[in-house]
This record gives sequence, C-alpha cells and structure tokens, in this order.
Amino acid sequence: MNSTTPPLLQVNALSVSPAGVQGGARVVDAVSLQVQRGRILGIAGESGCGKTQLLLALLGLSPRGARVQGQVLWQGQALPAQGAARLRGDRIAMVFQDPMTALNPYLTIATQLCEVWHRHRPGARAQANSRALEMLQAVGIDQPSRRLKQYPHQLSGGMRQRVMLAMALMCEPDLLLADEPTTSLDVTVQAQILDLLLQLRERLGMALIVVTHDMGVLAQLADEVLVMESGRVVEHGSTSQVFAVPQALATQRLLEAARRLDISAAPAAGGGT
Amino acid sequence: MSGPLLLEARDLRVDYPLPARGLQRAVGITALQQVSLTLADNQSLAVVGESGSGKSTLARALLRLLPLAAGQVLLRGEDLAILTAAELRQRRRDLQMIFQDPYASLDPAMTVAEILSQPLRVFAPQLTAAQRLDRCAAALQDVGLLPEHLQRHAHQFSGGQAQRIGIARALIAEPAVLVCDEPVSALDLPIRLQVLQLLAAQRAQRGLALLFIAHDLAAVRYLCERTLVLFAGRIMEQGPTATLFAHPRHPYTRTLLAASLRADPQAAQAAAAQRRALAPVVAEPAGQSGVEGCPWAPRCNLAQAQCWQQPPVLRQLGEVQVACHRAGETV
Repeated sequence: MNSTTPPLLQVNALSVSPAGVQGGARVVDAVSLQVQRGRILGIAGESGCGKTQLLLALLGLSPRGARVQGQVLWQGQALPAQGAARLRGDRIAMVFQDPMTALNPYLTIATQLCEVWHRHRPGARAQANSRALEMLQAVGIDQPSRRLKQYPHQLSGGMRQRVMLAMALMCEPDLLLADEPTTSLDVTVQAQILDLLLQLRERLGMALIVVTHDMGVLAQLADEVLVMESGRVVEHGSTSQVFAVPQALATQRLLEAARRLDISAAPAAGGGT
Repeated sequence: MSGPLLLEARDLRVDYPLPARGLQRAVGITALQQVSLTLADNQSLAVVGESGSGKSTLARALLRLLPLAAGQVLLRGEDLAILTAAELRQRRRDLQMIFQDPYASLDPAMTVAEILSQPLRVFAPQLTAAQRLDRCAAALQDVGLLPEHLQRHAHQFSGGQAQRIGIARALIAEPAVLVCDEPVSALDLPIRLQVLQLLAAQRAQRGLALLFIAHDLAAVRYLCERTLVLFAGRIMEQGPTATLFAHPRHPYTRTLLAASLRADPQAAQAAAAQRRALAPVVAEPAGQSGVEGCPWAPRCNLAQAQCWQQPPVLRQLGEVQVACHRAGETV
C-alpha cells in the first residue's frame, strides 16, 4: 500500500474514565493503534482488561458520563470525541458477544436487517429486502428467505451469530469490530464463523478488529496482535512475533493457557493414569 | 477396587414429548438412543458433542433427573429407577453435579455458607451448626477460596470464583462421581485452565470418578482418560482419549478435532486446510431423507449410498468402538 495513504483507523492516546470515579482511574489508558484497510488486528486480554471499553469508545458508545480523551482518526480525518455516530453501522460495524441480547426479540430478522439499511441508505429503501436476503446468503444461512420472516428465538445460537454478522455487513463496512464473536458457540460453529470472517475479508477487503481472551482465535485470524492489561497496551507486534517471543507477562499468561489447553497438549498430571 | 461397577448405563433412550399441533398427533423426539457406558471408581470419562447432541440429556438421565424411555442406570449395581424418592436422595450423595453457568446455579439470596450447608443438612444431618460451618470453611479452602468468603453472596464473586463455589458444594457431599456439565465453557481461558487444574487435583486427591460433558476437546484432553463422542443422541465413537485424538476413526470426531482452536498460527492454518478437506462433497441422494441412515451422513465427506440407508452399529476397531460404515477402510 502507498505509504502516503493514511490508515483506515488511527487511534492516538485514547483514554476512558468511568463516570463517578474520582482521580485518574482509567479503564482504557492511553491506547494507540492503527488498522490498515483489509488487515486484521487482534486485541487480547483477560476479562476486565478494558478491551471491550476500548471498542465501545471507538464507536462513541462509552457509557453515559464517561470521560473519553484522545484522538480517533478515520482515514486521516479527526473524529470528534463522541462522534462516530455517522460512521456507525455504515463504515464501521460491530458484532457483539451475545447474539441473544443484541438482537431484538420482538422484531423479525428482516426488520432488524432492513433497519440498518433504511438508516444509512434512506434514498434506496426499495433495495433493503433484497440486500438483507443477499447478506444472509453471504454468511451461509440456508433457506434465507424463510429466515427473514422468523424471530431470533427461532434460530440456533450459530445462526443468530450469523444474523448479527449479516446485519453488520449490510452496508459493506470498511471496518468490522468483533467482541468475542465466537465464545458462546460450539467448536464446529466457531470454526465456521472464523473461516467466514477470513473469507469476507478476502472478498470485501474489509478490515477487522477482533477482541478475545483466547489466543487460539488470534492464531487463526490476526495479522497483528495487541495485548491489554489494566487498560494499557502491554504488547504489540505481528502475530508470528507475539506467538514466538511474547514479551509481556500478560501475553505469556494468555499463551500459556492456550497452549496447555490445546488438543495436542499433554494431559494434566494425574489425569492420564 | 473390586465389587460392583460404580456407574453403568445400559441402552439408554430418552424421548422428549412434543405437544400436539392442530390436527397433528403428539409425537416425541428421541434425544438419546442406545447409549451405554461404564465408569469405574477413579476413572474419568468425557462426553463430547455439539449442542443438541444429547450430552446434557445424558447427564440428566444418569442422575435420574429425566425419565428414561428405555434402558437402565446402575449405581454400584443398583437400578436407580426402582428406588423410592427417599432412597434416591441418599444415593445421589454419590452423584454430584457441577453446572455450566455458575451464577444461575447458585441461589443469589443465600450466603456461601448457606449454599454449602444445604448438602450437609441432607447427607450429614447429625452435624451441629458449628460443625457444619467448619466443614464449609474447609470446603472453601479446598477449592482455593478463603473462610471469610462464607458470608458473601454469589454476585460478589467473579465467574471463576463462583464456579469454585459450585465445585465446593459438589465436593462437600463427598461423592464418588462428579458429573460436570460444561463446567468451564463460560470462563476466560486462563481461568478455565485454573478451574481444570483444580478439578484434576481434587480428583487425584479424593480418588473421584469424573463424568465430564463438554464441546471443548482441549479441556477433555486435559482431564479425561476416555472419551465418548455423541451426535444426534447416538454414540459415534468411544475409546481412550489419547487414541481417539491421535487416530480419530469417525469423520465426526475428525471434524471436531479440526474445528478446535490451536494455540499456534501454523497449526491453525493446517486445521483450516483440514476443515476444507472434511467438507461434505456428496449431496443428499434423491428420495433419501437421511433419517433412516447415519445421522452424520448429511455432513460427511465420505457418505455413500449405504450411509443414507442404514444406521451404522457401534463396532470394535482396535482400541476404540466406532459407528461408521466406512471406518477401517484405508482413507
């Protein structure tokens, strides 16, 4: 890529302090990162490390009253501190961890998918339905026209996660944020969704930020890995480098857990008797 | 140890009734069929499969939390189905369970002391209140928590700590078998490892038998000597975990292994390539519904005419038992 092209997303010293906390307590502390078009950045950390708060801050969705400092540049243009609303759902989309709570149980799949389109493409209302159908096909849902008329509770967990993904893809975003996109899923469905994310990157040239506690997810997906602990970035490098020579203790801990819990690892002492 | 086998299931079948719809008659779906297993003292057995495979149904059927449509569950040679409610309650001391969602399985209105006292009130009614409290404190320490946690409520703990309380509640009854239904799948990886280490240590120390239900093969590998693979309520393959993982005979077992996350970028790529190789190539033949044949056939890369027509029976192949028409062919 041309070196004068600004990165798709650039974050400079982003900090988030929750509402009502005195002093300098920060759940996200001076985080800087860049994502180039078509690249996949993995953000790893244990629960409470601030990785989800970072994603929410990028989208301008920090909890009410939280103080957000720092700079977010989208294709080189500064976004106002809370101003990603224009891009949200259009150029930047997000897939949440729990598809059951992120989908509205009262609305059909069609209504929820079309809502995204109506909001961002008000001039093209007529195409909404065919677009929704196309996206359900793209994420590998069978009988898509039947699914459009159904409600979230009528779908399996894996299918709901695919619907979330279809919803995020409605406007062909340049950047997809995925917060633990597969933790609630079966291994087989998890593998399908991860394979699908890679295919979509190939096909659409979409960039991706994936947040997870499982280094196994990043081993498969990420081009580069950023590790967070207590709101700070403690390690950042290419995936091969981070896996080969992890520097930070937090990274080593995450990798150790993933390696001990790999299908080729040795059983627990006393377990294999 | 000699004497009767700790736990044995023979040809279990569980049906879930579906309500009548309009003019349609009420029908049942079979959640489990022809499932047999044995668990000796001190052994560990994993039951793996995806959601809907019947693995939680199996756990519930073993504990007689569900009625059996057919088959028998024997605990030390005694048929659980013919016990009275009072007898069953005492026998259940030997069969304790740990649930998937630690918060949902702990009463939010109770303190930890009250939660841990419940099994003692049933199984050791002779204890005084002070003795009970001592036992509860000791049980907490066994799982790596502190006696001062006794007065707290479940919501004051992290997920990993809450699961430790669930384990303490199961262990305080001093069971012979611990039935764990996806005990770590809701936990972050580093915490998952800690809880599995705790289970391994407690098991070794107490000589517990373990029935471990999971969809995560890595946890199974870590904890269990034998593995049983379930799909659509039927056993696809079972045998020693090490053999099953090194030489999976059933295409479904291969699929599960290839879908497992790998802690290494190169291994992850190899697994992705293997998943592509395992993708089904044969479309369902016309006029076949797949219902009569092998339940895996619609997703199998090796399915042939026979697979759509008749269900394979479980047969011995080396160290494992496998239900696949094509297992043992040179593939």
